[in-house]
Amino acid sequence: MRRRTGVLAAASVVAVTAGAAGAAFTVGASRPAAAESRPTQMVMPAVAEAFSAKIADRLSVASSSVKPISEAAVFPSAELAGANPAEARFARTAPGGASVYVMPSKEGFCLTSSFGVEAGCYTSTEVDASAVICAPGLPPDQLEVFGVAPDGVDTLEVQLADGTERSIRVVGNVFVYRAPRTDPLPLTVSWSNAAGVLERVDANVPGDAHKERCATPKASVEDVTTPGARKPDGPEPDPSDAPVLTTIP
Amino acid sequence: MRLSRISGSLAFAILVSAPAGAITSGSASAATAWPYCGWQVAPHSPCSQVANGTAIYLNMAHYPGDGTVGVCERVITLEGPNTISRRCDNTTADSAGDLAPYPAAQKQASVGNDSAWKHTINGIVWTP
Repeated sequence: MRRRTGVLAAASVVAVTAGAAGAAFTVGASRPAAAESRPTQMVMPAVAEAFSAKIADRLSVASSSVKPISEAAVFPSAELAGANPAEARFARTAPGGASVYVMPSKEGFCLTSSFGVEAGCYTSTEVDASAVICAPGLPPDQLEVFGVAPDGVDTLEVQLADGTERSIRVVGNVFVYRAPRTDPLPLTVSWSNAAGVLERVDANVPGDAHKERCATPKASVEDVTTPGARKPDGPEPDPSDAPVLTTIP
Repeated sequence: MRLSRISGSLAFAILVSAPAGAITSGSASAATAWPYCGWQVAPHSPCSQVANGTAIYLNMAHYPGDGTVGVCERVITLEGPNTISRRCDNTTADSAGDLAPYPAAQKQASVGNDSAWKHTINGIVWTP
């Protein structure tokens, strides 16, 4: 089974702030019976020192030369996974010109990129497809399917809703398919494994993706991987601003 | 991204909460996870519970069961409204760094089930 899980597995659950929870949650009457909702404080794990042998054996990009990138490229879920930007490797240039990097994490590895579109953490090197419908670094009229493919998978086919296919190349163990949202939507991604057997995964593009109203990219979106890059300007959020949960009838 | 990427066991730990008293000190960086939804969601539908707030900097959707289920996360700014993050993946999807350019915006986070069958979907938003 493909799993990109594990981002939080390395983080330590250290405290329960249940005292603040009572006032923070506004829940509608139609809420079904479910697990109790209480906030949990978590400590970010120490960063991974290096790629594990298991990852390096299947992703040759992990054995390429080190290309340290800015800590600003460590997005929140990568921080939870213990990703290490000082041990990053350059994987490829993505559509739009972004540089995509692979970083070791506590239980696997993470992808990150200049404009933040190709971003995610994994515990397995098996082929998996992530769909991005809206993101600050993605033009609002486009969508993207990206993922990691292990050594030996050099090309993949993207099956589209109109029955056609697009062939995409794997570069640096990373594949990226980007297209206008008005095009036929990607349904699946397929490839031939080492035994020549065709394998296929869902492209994870929701059927209503072409209707989504994405925000125009912010001018402050910049190359976060460049050493010295800093997070966008703006007031820091108030940590006491607890989320309010609302159930929509 | 299959956001990575939350382990099932940890998602459970968040939902039921950790033992009080398991507090450590000296951490350089911490975050607070706020679970929401956590019940069965209809096929190809969003969960009826959403999380609102400006401090939200990460939204995560997670399917806690066995097998592979497509999940989506979505964050909008209430001004507009416009979608600033929508990502879908198997088992887990998160907003990665999509919310960073909007630290002061009033945001609404949601999660959804992108499979053809009803499944339990957990949502978690993170604040500093």
